[in-house]
Amino acid sequence: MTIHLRWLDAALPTLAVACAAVPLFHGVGVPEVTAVVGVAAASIWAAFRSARVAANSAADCAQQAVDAEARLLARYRDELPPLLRGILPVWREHVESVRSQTDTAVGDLVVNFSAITEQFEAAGFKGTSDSLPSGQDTTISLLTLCERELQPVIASMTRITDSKGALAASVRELSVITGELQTMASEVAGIAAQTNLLAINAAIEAARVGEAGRGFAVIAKEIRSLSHASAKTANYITGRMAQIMTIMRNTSEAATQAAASDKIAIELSGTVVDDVLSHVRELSVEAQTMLGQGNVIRSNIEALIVSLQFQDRVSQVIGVVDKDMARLRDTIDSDEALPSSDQWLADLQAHYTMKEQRRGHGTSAGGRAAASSAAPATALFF
Amino acid sequence: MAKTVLIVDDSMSLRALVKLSLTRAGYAVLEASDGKEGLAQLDKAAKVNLIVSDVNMPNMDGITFVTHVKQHARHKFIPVIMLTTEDEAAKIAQAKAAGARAWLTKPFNPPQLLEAVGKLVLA
Repeated sequence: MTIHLRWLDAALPTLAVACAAVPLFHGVGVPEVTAVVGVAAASIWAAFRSARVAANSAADCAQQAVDAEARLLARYRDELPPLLRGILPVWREHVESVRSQTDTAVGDLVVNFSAITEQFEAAGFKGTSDSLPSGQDTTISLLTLCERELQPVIASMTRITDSKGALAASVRELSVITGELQTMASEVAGIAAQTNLLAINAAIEAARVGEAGRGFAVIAKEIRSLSHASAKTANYITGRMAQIMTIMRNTSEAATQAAASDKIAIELSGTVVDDVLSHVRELSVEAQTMLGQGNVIRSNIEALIVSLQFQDRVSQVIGVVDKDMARLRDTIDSDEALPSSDQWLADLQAHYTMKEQRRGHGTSAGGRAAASSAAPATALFF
Repeated sequence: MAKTVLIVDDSMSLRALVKLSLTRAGYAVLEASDGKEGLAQLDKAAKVNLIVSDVNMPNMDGITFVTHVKQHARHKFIPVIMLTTEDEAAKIAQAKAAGARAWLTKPFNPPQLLEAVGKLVLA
């Protein structure tokens, strides 16, 4: 069609001029018609020219669209694949690094949580009593047992104290009676002394016999009084002595019984104390074990805190990859020429913040393996 | 009275872990998610004895944050520990020039963090 249009484009002006020039060489009539035809042809040509210009403009637009599409196709066919061939393996390495770090960290978390659970159980925090084997005591039950076992010992000691009190009372009573006896003994001694004096006086009076009888009668009366007093005192002393014997017998029996009870109580107390000490030693061992387990649990928790920080690292890796994907989308959407993969990767590398990312920037499996675990922390002081 | 530490990090989980380590050791903790928020927290707080700051954060990065802190009349004596995944010598030098007192790489170990905090925290 284009060829026809060009022919018309060349022919119509010539036809128009030829028709317009005919009147110069012919008479009226046919020349007039020819002139009209010429003018009409010129008009048609002008209109056609305009139409052609419009058509050309449309064709140009269509051509531009076709060219743009061709350029786009060329970008996708020629420029994008090499760029993607460079970028995608690096992105894949970063994503794989994230997967690997997450896998490792979660595994570490499971191990550490399991260890903490085991340490808790080993430390004696076993949960509800339903889970306890029969006959096994918890720490609290041991303390209750100790308290129960010590109560009879306390009661025995109380009884021993009470019996000792009774004995002491008996001894005090004996002491009082002994004091009375001493007083009585003094009185008897006094009586004996007076009796001696009387005897002496009687001897003197006897020496003066002459006035027979008066002195001796008085002396005899006094001696009789003394005899009664002595007899009375002697009876009293005898009675008190009998009391003392009774009290001493009772005291002796009580003491013997108390000794026997004390012996049993002391032996029982010794057994109970040994038992309680054994429980206390058991508690002490358990407390030491708990202390040790507590230290292990603390270490496990510290390891957990280290493991949980994987989230921060993978978040940074994913953030960089996400931004790079957005950058690629924006670059494709723009009309700019796509950069080479080397240039793209150099720009990507400038955003890295971690060793794992720099290692993963290479596409080797060694880089991936190295990226799966974070380097230990270092501390610098300025 | 417990000493106060300001943690500045855009990762919520990381802030939670640092807070857990410090509160177990008896420190009071304030938090901020970037340098701008960190400066706001410093202005609000009665007293801050130490700052632990990340480097790569949105809105205001850690090194810019430290620079602002060291230019502030009230805050410039507060010691700063950088806690970051970065390990490049250039960044470390920048932090030192800005006025940071220590550089600790992540993942941090609680005893190591506590040792650094104990060494530098203001009385």
